[in-house]
Amino acid sequence: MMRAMPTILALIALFVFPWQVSFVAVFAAALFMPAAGIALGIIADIVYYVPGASFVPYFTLLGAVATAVSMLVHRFVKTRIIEG
Amino acid sequence: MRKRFSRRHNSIVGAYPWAGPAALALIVLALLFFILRIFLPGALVALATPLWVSGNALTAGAGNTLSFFGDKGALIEERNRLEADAAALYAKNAALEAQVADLTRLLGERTEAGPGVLAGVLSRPPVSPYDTLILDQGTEAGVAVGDRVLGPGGLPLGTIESVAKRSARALLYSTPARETESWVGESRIPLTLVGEGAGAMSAIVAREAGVVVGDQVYVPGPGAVPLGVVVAVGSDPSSPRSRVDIRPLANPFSVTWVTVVP
Repeated sequence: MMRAMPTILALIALFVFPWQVSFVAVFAAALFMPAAGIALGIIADIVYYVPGASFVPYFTLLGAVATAVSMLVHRFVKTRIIEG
Repeated sequence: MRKRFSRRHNSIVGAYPWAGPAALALIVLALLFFILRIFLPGALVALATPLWVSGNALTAGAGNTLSFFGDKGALIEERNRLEADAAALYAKNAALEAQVADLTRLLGERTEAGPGVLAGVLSRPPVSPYDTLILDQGTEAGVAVGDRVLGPGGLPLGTIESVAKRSARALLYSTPARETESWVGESRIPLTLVGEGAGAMSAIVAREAGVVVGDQVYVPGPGAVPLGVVVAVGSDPSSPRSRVDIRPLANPFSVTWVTVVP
């Protein structure tokens, strides 16, 4: 439940707080739950993105990057624990 | 005989075992994105509406609470100014009431609906990241792609970019890199507005055009409709062109209702 809290807060932030705050919240949520990054990014772009606004949906890209970074961090931490 | 295993063996696959599933997940999610966007464009908007409404109420409430801690002198000054404004509005209202009574006697009480669709703004910058407005009216109310979105007093804000059954997304003129043909000043010098995000716009004009701070900027509508005002003009003497910064007349950060017109 505690691991899901950042994801729930980031989801709420997408609809309540300025997008810069949501941006940070999505990244933070991804650190706890890697898949949350890309999922929240896609949700943000489904709601807000219009093709005329930009060529690429930035929130989806950010989510993908956050997920990738989070997976690398999780992998690194796991490796350190096993090898340590 | 002891067999040696090398970590370098098949290093591309071995080093990134998650790459395959991750790529697959990305493709699946991208497909999901397009399916949801094409078949259910308004579904998430409908789900998110209570959150947006709560967020708007929370923002307004926080603003009112914080104003309590404001500077006392400034508050007294503001109160005096508001009292003066209220007195002026009272007098104006009395004059308008008399005018309405006269016109009602002349024309009767028949009223006709104004043009366009009145729509509430569910989400606006800075909550929405692409300088878009999410509106609570869609195709059911007659909103269509390409319609113009007007703010308070009929000031143009942007155009409808996508529309669902009960919601629509409007793209502001200030969307980053969005180009809009317009005019500036009383002599209506043509210029191309470029969105800078967060309500701001800019343009490049010839120095000898004589654009000055305070000039109005107009966009095509029924005639020339005022959109913004010039707030800064670049002053580089070595350049034949000047950068002009434009502020919109209607603040997109605080717009709550808009009119959508074809």
